[in-house]
Amino acid sequence: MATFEEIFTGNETEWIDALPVYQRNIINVLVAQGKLYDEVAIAWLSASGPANTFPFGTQGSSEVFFEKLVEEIEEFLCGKDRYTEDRKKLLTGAEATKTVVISSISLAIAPVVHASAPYIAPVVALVLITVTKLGRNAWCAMRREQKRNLHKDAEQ
Amino acid sequence: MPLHIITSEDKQPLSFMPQLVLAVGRITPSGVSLLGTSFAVARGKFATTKHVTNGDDSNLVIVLPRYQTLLEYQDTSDKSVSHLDVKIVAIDPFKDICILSTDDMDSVNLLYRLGGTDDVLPGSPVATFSFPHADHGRLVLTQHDTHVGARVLIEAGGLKSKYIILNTQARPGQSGGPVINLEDMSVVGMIIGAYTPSTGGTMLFGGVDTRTLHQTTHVISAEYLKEMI
Repeated sequence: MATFEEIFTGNETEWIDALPVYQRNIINVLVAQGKLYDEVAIAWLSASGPANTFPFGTQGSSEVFFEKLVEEIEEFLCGKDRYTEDRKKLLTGAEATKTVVISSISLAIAPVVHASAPYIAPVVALVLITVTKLGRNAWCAMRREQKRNLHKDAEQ
Repeated sequence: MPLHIITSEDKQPLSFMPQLVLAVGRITPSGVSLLGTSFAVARGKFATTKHVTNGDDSNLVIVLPRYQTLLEYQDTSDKSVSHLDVKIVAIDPFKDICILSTDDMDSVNLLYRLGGTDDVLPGSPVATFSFPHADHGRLVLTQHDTHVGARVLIEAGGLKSKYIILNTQARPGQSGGPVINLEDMSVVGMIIGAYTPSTGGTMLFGGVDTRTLHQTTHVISAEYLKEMI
């Protein structure tokens, strides 16, 4: 049985290394360009193929918003109301490797953000880097504080 | 229903493409809405573009072949379709590539190998297979014979990738179609879309963006598919 404290240990780049090679390579190039992890995540979600190209699918594009995704990751890691079973499965299941953690969170939140798990997995990995840097409790507290400030600003 | 691909060596191997190039759709309350084209790249795996799926695999399907060969007359009034559920197993939004997977495919005898745009020179003859005008519900697998016009690098979010320009006009529904090198029966690329200038605004005429009415079709190199399968 794993704990969140055990999961969020180790070198932060281990989260990127846990991604499939083709995704890892892209993330590493963008990081090497000097982008912050959040900026890389946003670039991943807003990428829409080659420049100056009109796509010949039949539907318009839609975007998964970074903040919505982070909210769901927060709910998974810090919340109590939703993802209870998914959390339990992750913590009581087989070895919670970085790959298993990324995959479990991505699979759980994918339907909520109307995206497939492989699509959002790199973004989940990038957010988990920040969680590892700060520690889960500190990250959850930071997110709560950010929300409180947002509410205050909205009320003023 | 499991998908059986029964291709065989033949003097006209390309005629068997209806078993390997399948339309992608999404189940809606009013039936299957066609989204674009996909093609088999391994047992149970199909390549298409990211923008065809929008990265969302809910209710995503591939339409089972209705004809064994391209030699048959495809009935344009026949709107019946059978389909298989698919899931996205790999996706690259920068190169606009998406790999779909189904468990219901017993075997596949690919008529082609996966190559790349390094294998063709400007002027090389190629053939594309796709479902043009799928945005109007038209489900006709169509072969277009054309030539490579240029090899280009195109940037996406700071990353450059290899493409070729095809000297042909593409229409909605063709995204995800394979481009076959006729000299060695390899897939050298996949149709992504048409060049469109970033300036000048959009001008629609009869629902068609007039900026796309030209013969400059962008095709991503198939070499990038290999690392995603």
